[in-house]
This record gives sequence, structure tokens and C-alpha cells, in this order.
Amino acid sequence: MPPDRTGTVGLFATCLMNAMRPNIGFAAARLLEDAGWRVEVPREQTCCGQPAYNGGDEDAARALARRTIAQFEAFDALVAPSGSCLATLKHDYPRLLRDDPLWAGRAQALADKSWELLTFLHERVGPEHIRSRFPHRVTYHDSCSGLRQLGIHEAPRALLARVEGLRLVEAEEREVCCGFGGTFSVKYPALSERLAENKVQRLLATRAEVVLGGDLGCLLHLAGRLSRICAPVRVYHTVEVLAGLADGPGIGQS
Amino acid sequence: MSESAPLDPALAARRRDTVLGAIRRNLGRDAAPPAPEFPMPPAHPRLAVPEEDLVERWRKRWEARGGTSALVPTKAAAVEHLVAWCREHGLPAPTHAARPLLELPWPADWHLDPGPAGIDTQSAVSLAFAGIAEVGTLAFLSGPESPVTHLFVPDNHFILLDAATIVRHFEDLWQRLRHHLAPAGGDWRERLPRTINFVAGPSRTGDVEQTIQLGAHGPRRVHVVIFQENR
Amino acid sequence: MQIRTREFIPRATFALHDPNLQRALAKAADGFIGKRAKAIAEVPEFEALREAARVRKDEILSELDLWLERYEARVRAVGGQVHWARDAEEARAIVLALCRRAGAKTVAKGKSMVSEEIGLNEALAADGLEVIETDLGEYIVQLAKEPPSHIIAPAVHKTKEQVAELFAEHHGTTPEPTVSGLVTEARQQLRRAFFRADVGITGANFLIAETGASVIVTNEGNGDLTQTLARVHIVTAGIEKVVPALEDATLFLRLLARSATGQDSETYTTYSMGPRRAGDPDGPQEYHVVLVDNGRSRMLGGPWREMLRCIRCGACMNHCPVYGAIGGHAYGWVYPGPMGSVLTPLFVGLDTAYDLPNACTLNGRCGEVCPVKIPLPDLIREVRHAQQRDGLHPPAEQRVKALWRRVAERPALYHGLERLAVRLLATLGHKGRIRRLPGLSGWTDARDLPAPAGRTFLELWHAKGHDE
Repeated sequence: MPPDRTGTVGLFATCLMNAMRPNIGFAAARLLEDAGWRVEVPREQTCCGQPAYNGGDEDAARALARRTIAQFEAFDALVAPSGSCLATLKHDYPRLLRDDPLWAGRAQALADKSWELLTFLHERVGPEHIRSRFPHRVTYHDSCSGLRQLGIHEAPRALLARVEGLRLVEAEEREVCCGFGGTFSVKYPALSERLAENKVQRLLATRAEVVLGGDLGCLLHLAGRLSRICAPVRVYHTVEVLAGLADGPGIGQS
Repeated sequence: MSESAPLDPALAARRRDTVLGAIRRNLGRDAAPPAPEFPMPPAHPRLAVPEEDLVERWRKRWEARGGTSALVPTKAAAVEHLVAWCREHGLPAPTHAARPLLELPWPADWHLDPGPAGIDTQSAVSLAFAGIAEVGTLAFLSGPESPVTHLFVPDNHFILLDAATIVRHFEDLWQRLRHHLAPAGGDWRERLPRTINFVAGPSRTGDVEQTIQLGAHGPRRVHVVIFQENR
Repeated sequence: MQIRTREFIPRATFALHDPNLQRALAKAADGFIGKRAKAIAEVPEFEALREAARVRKDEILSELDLWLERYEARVRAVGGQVHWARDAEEARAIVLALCRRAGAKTVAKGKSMVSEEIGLNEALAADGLEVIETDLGEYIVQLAKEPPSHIIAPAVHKTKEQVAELFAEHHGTTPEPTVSGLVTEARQQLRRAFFRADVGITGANFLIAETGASVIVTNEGNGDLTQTLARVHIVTAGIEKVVPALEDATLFLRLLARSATGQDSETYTTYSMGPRRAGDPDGPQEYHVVLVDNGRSRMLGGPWREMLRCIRCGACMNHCPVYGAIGGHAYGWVYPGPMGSVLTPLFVGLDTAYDLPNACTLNGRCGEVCPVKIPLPDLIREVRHAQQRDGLHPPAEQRVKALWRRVAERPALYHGLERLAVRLLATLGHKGRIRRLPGLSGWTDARDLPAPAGRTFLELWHAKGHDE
């Protein structure tokens, strides 16, 4: 760890966060700024291109990758509150642009300094900056992209352990997908519903009051299903709890 | 296509060339490179077998899959053990045995046939070529002295295993096999048996509701008697 | 085997509502996943084995022609014959001709995915041969006139009551509907078939160039009875099955059983090298290997080569949440689950099997458990790319994607539309959620849509004077 630990972070405002849950962005910024990082949010950013990439449109994914790289390469680090979007930046950009002599290096350079938010908080910022209180029984949903492509497992748990009053109860079958899968959830709704239901039953079995996670896609999906079956469980992004900004309604609640 | 066309040598050769040509084209290779000496494979990772006592390791693994075993001092003691075992468990006397075992002091009323097992064969005795401690399995080489049907047809299978033939890893077995087939040098591959059979326990299936049931098609009970006279 | 991949959605939907199937799948998944995890926990070398297997298989594939030629030479040297088939039709014709030449009436079959792939049973039966599947699971689905629903547990979808009914109907007996009663009943029936069969057909898990061996692994012993008792043994195998040496087979076998069934070893592993030798008391008089290309050589050339590392263990489907929800039949052809989502479109057509690679959440668990490290999620995505190149995605989806791209490349427009959408959605929300949203009914039929607050993060952030 270099002595000059802080610098300027470019906050990647994922499409879903930007539209559906701005609180996550503010929570991220609060924690980063509290630790002495300067946070900037480029106005020109749009989507990382993952929907195009997963949907089979490599050309579109490449075009959006180049845009994102240009927007963020000047920062000391890029931080995104989503393992899924971050995996696209970190793993898929270098692959998508590997045959482009102008962009291959830039893609790799950005990948090397791109971080998923919770991992950044755990490894770069340090858990000592977490000073929140959340006296609830919670369970944590590991999102697949974060878990498998980025190996995020330890970071959220270590960070949550710093939260006063929080009791983490692990669910069964944590490594199983919740059935969101981006466009999968609307293209194959019956399958998505079944996977969501399986997952929700595992989460409910923990008797947790709150479900946390690190990817808004999965959280919207789970919150939507929990709400439909009238389960009295609140859903937040982990960073909302860490920043002490989980005092408002959960996702999908008022 | 006429009846014999699929087996016509000229057509067969053409099909072979087409497939190999397609492989080369897709690999970006122009033609077959000259065949060099058969290269030895790289040394692959092995499983740690920390046990000093390979017999113990072998038995533990073997019995974990539902096989049974006993340890006796000599081949003759193995015979005594088997006679007692059959009586104790109410099992029919074997009717078939591997030829090298016929010379052992079997009871007078055991008539052992070294020929192949038939549809009604209930019980047979075999001699293993080797045991492999890594997973607790047995190797057999087919031949006039070791009918393959003895391994699969009977309900009850008894196997004599020389403790001295238990090797640590499969790699050790392959080395031993190469030497065994050509002890004085020469091409061991010229002397390969028709089959090398590994038997790791009783026949089993999980095909009905994923519930393990022994005796699917092969032996329901497999009992190994390990003798230590050469150890 | 009939291709029914186009019916994926209705068949998947049906499967979701079949209580027997759901019960069987839940039980199977628990068993397979738990047993594999336990077996692997005992082997600290497992990751090293996976990596070695990946590297070795890639080496072999890059010189596949060479190893096949060496293999062929060794099979001949031990008295066997090798037949090359470019496609399924040729493979069927060769096997049929061999059966006819042998004057066969009855054919016993060990489990072989390639024989399913080439539609062998139907061809032999059409020629008047009695074909008997001898793997218990295969036998059950054969009686039920169904294809296998799992590559290593073909009848995983059947309950014991259903099996008992099938046996009663076909054997005219009334077996006890217990697992042990049913297995005993099948044992008695199939034993007669083994001894009656003129030809025994098996697959091969591996072919070994060094010795000319075909290797099969089974737990039941059916493959061995099949090949030992018949006069003619025919092996059907894909060309990618060849490995150089005995030590290589050992490497892959250390991974196979643990990945497939969670065993450290299957009960029987058999290396077969040619026909009965002079003086042998048993074994077949003829030994044939039919090497099947059927599209495999083409896979060597493109992005699909890694798929040829597959050793058909089934771990990917055992760990796939979609497979776990619908079972194998919905996939509509021989290879279900993640490996099928790559292989099936390549074999039967990117359009015909359109849904398979798309009905996947890309959660990545399949790639994580693959014993030869096939990057299945990447390959599934690659199939979607190929479908995109061929214009196979639904027209409405293509229009949306094209429009979305044009907008996403124009930040002002993108954010303007996003602001508009967020405001609109906020007005539709009630108590923080939207119960029904026309146009997104796929989502709202089973889930509420959390309603946004009405402002985007970017507008709030920059309104707060964060402007740089």
C-alpha cells in the first residue's frame, strides 16, 4: 500500500443505480470522501455495455467500452457499486479490445485500476472508516458476477462485521443464482421466477429482517419478488448500511 | 448406399482422409507431420497417499464403497478363510476360479471350473494382478488364466490379492504393467491382454431416484482376501 | 434422436409444473452437488489436476490428427478395426453394416452419448434389430420411449412408482415399487439380454493412442457384460476422445468420477484392446471402433475448440440453476444443461437451438465446476454473438438493442430519456413499487418492479454543486 493512500476516484454510476437507487451512489461517495478520497462523477458516462455484450452485440459493447475508458482513464481509480458492471470493465473490456492497437492498452490500464466498491472499501479504504449502526438481523446475497469473476466474498462480510448491532445470518445455497440474469429475467420470465422463488425461500429461512447485496440488479429482482409475495423483508445495497444511509425505505418500499 | 458400401475399403479410406483432412485444415496444419518417437506424457499431478501402510489405505478405500476384505498370512490361509466365510454367510460355494488358483487346497466338494462364467454362475474366485492404494481398487489382466466373465457375471465374487502387489498410484501400476508384459525388454504393447479391468467394489446403481443399490448387473458381494506371504 | 430444441419454452414451462419431475430434480441436485463437494474436499490436488487436464487436453487437441493416427495404428496392431465416420448418417450406416455382417438379431448397448447423438437406436430398430439399452437408467427411458434427461443419470426424472409401472407394463410382472425390488427385477431381465446379444455396442470415455484401448467407466457393470458376452464389440466414440498415454487417462479419470458422481472411482474402469486373443476363455471375436466426426473437426477451427475438452461428466448441469429447474428434456436434444447450450446449437443449428444459450443467467457456476476448465459462460455468450451475426435474435429485440446503442452513445439524449423514464415510473409507483407495467409484463407477472424516486443520481449529484 503506497503512503499516499488517497486520490481521486471516478464513481461509475451504473445504469440501474442512476435510475432506480441514487442513495447507493451517495452512500458510496460519503464513505469514500470520509476516508479522504476525492469523488468525481463524469457527466458524460452512460452504460458499460454489458447488456449489449451479453446480448450478443459485440460491436455495440466495444463502442460503449471505448466511451467508458475515455471518461474514466484520467482518475486514480474507477469505483463501481456493482460486481456485475465492474466485471465487464475489468474482464471483458480487455478481451473485447485486445485486437485494437489503439485501445487494447488503454482497456487494460483502466481494468487494472477499476474496483468494485465493497472490495475497494475493504482493501484500499480500510474497514476502520465504517462507523454505522444497524441493529438488525440481516442476510447477504452473493451476486454471481461478483462472487465468481471478482472473487468477492470476504469483503462485504468483513465490512458488515464493523457495523454496530448488525447480526449476519448466512443463508443456505449462497452460491446459487437468484435468476435475474439481466435480459434473462424478461426473456424467460417463468424460469427467472422459479429461480427467484427458490432463492427467496432460502433467504426467508434465515428469518432475517433485511437482505443485503452488492448488485442492484439482483436486489431489484429479489425485492420485487419479496414484495410480490408480501414478505416483510427490507432490501438494501450493502453500502447504504455501511454509510448509515439505510434509514429510509428499502428497495421497492415507501 | 448398398449394404456393404459402408465397409468398402476404398470408401473407408476416403472417409478417413476426409476426417483427418478436416482436422488438419481446422488446426491450420498442412499435412501430417512426421511421426516422431512416441513421447512420454508429462508427469501429471498425483494424489497424496501419505499412508505408510498401503494395505491399510487400500482396505479403507475399498470398504468405503461396500466391498469387504480380510487379511491372512498365506494363500493357503486364504482358502481356509473363504471356506469359513461362505459357511458363515450362507453363500453358495464357488463354481469357477482362475486357473492359477486351482492348485490351492480347496475342499473336496468345491468343483472349480477355470472356464468362462455362464448365465447361472453364482460365485467365482479370481486372482488380482494388483491393488491400487490411491483409491482402493483392483486391476485384472484378461487371459486364459483370468476370465473376464468371472468379474461380472456371478452374484458373489471372491478375489485373492497378494499384498506385495499393492501399488501406491496408478502411475506405479502402469510402470509395473510395462515391465510385466516385457520383462526382458522389447515392445510391451505387443503383449497387451484384451482387457485391463479395474474393479473397485460391488456393482452398484443410483439410477432409480438416485438411491444407491448394490448388485445392479454385476456382483452384489465382493470379498477380497489379502495374503501377505510375499510381503 | 428427434430434435425438439424449438419447443424449449413450452417444454420448460411444462417441466416447471410437473410435480414428479420437480421432486426428482430437487433430490438429484442435492445428491450430486453434495457428493461432488465432499469428494473434492478430500483432494487438495483437485485444482492442480483441473489445470493439468486443461493444458494436456489443449495440447492433444492441437495435434489431434497425429494422436488419432497413432491410435488407429495401435488398434490395428491388437487386431481391431477402426472406421471413420464424417457424420451421423455414415456412423449409423457403418454400425448397421457391421451388425448385418455379423448376422445379428439382438444388440445390447452400454451407455453412449455419441450413439444418442447419431440416432443409432432408431436406425438399428428400423432395420429389425432388437436393441436393448443395458444401463439401468437408459433401459428405463428406453421402455418409456423417452430420451435420456441427464448425461449420466438418464432417468433422473422418473420416480420409483413410475419405474414400477413401466416394468409391470413391459415385463408383465409386478415388481415391488422399492428401489431394491426394481433393481433386482431389471437385473433378471437384462441378464438374459446380455447372454442373448450378438453385438455389444458401447461408447468410450477415452481412447488411448499408446495401447489402442477404449476406456469405459460404469458403476453397474453393464458396459462390461455388453462387450464381453457378445460376439462383436463395437465402440462408438467422438474423435476428441483420444489421449496419448495410460498416464493421461489416469489424469482425466481422477477428475471424472469425482466431478460426475462424487466417487473417488467408479466401480468398473475397463481398458479394451481388440478382440479375444488365442486361448482367451471369453470376450468378443471382433472389435470395431467407429470414430465419429459429426462436426467436431469444424469446432477445432473456431472459438469452440475449448468445448472439445469436455469429458461428459455432467457437473455443469448438476450445478446449473436452470437445468435444476427444468431437467434435461426441455433442452430438446442429446446434450442438456450448459454443455448442451454450447454444443447443441453447433450440432443442430444456431437458429434451431436458439433458446438454449439464451436461457442462461451467465451466473458462471458451470465454468467453476468444470473439471477441464471449459469457460462455459464465455462460450455461451459466444454462441449468442454468433446468433447476432446471423441475425437470429428476435426482430423486436434487435430493434431495441440497436436503438439503445444509438442512445447510449449520446450522453445528453441517454440521460434525458433516463430522467423522463424515471419520472414516469415514479408516477406509476404505489407504496414504492409498480405492480403491473405494460411492455414489461415478463417482469411484473411474477415480481413487483421497485419504483424509482423520480430523480436520477447524476441529476441529484450535479444539482448538489458537485460540479467539477
